[in-house]
Amino acid sequence: MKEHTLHLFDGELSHLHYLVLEMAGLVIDQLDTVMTSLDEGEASIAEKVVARDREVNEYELKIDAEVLSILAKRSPVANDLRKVISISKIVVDLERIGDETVRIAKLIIDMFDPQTSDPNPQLLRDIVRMGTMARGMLRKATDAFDTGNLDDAYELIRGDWDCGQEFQDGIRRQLTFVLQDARLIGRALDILQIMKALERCGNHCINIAEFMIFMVEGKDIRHQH
Amino acid sequence: MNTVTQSKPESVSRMKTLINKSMSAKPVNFQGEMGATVGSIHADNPRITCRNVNVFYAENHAIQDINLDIGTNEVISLIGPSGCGKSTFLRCLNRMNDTVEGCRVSGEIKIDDVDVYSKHLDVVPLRAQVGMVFQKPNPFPKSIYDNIAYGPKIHGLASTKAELDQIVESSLRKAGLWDEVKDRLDQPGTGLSGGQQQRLCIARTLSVEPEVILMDEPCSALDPIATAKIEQLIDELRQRYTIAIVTHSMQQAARVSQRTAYFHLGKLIEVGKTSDVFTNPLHELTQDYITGRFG
Repeated sequence: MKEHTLHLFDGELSHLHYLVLEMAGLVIDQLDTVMTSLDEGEASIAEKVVARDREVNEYELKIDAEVLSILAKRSPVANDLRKVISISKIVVDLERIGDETVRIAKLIIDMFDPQTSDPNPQLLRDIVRMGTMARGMLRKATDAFDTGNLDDAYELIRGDWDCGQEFQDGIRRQLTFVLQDARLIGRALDILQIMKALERCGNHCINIAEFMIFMVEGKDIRHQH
Repeated sequence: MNTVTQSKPESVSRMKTLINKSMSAKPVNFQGEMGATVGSIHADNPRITCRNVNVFYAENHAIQDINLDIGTNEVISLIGPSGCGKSTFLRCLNRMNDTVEGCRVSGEIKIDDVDVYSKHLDVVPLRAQVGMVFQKPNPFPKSIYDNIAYGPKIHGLASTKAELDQIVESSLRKAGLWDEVKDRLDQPGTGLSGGQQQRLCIARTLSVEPEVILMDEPCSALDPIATAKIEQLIDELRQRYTIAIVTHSMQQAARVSQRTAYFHLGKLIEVGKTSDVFTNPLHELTQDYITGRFG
């Protein structure tokens, strides 16, 4: 793409782009860390996720301030306007994914409380599956943003990654376990909450993909699929 | 400003009721048939239709195959880099290019289905019906009252002093200037501020009952507050008039117009709803220009 006549404007847009990538990288790391804490059964790892949420929130504030500054100073139009507006929306979805990782972390901290018995690994398999899916979706959404290549974005929107279906299947499996042993109900409910949080992470990734399409192609496809 | 000759009241209304020439608007596919313009040249309820308009300054082909409709009661902004032909095109609409030596216009421009380049058309009432406001305010060296009254007197639009007073007040009110000047109508128009002078020129245009108002960078010599007042006025005027405005300000074009036409090296590259052109332009040249990547 050609450069702006005002080079400073290009610099500001680049800076904004990299701030979003940094925020996305941090949120990916949060999700990876929380899944590691589950994998290793270590509540202390999950506690780091809770502590680092503050950094995710700070990125949101910093990016919003940059967006406001660009809108006020540059009056962007066309693709520049779509980029700035899309970024202001994408950042909200990234921050919400961050919140979901904190929710998961707190449930894991409870789950692996030394005063209670560890959960049955069979119950955790659904979380691991969904966690892998959510991490893959977030990486795809971030790659789409980084490169502007919409193949990843369209893949997310097509439903090739169906967190909703995975969640529904997970409910059935957890119910099966509970029916076999009613003492598992407390754990099963915690697991379903974690799965719900991961499903929401997947939905936020789809939102990001929709805004990528708007940013690059100017098409608003929200609520159409 | 051209010299206005005496004409009867009937000639103005005669122009408005000239026999419709049968020229049905051809549906046009702008990706193929009619050249490179993207978007839609058509307007709802068109007041002005331009087909295959070409303008030459001697050998210089300044405007090339322009096809464009301008809708009734719409504001259309004409944007593009300096020298792209937007002012030349604007001047075609009221035949101001006739005053330029060596200028040749071909094609068809119709206003209310009347061919304005017809041999039988009197350009004097045309320039009353299609008024023009210029970049630099140009009030007559007369009183505020006489600035407004001159046109109606010449065109025979008032037969009594009372009628003339009514026209002057009405025009100044429509231009948003009455309250500021009603107590000093006898003072020279040139004594007003820049923004007031421009509104005086707009009032002068309105006094001869135009259908269309052409504005060639009307705010470029004005401060931001005066500019805002003119833009507010444009929004009010479009309830009654059709307005075409040439502007170098992207933000102004985005604020005041419903449709935007982008010109480049004498060609009409893109035309469409202003909101679409400024959020998702169809042509790369349009996007490069409005985002400041041009050049």
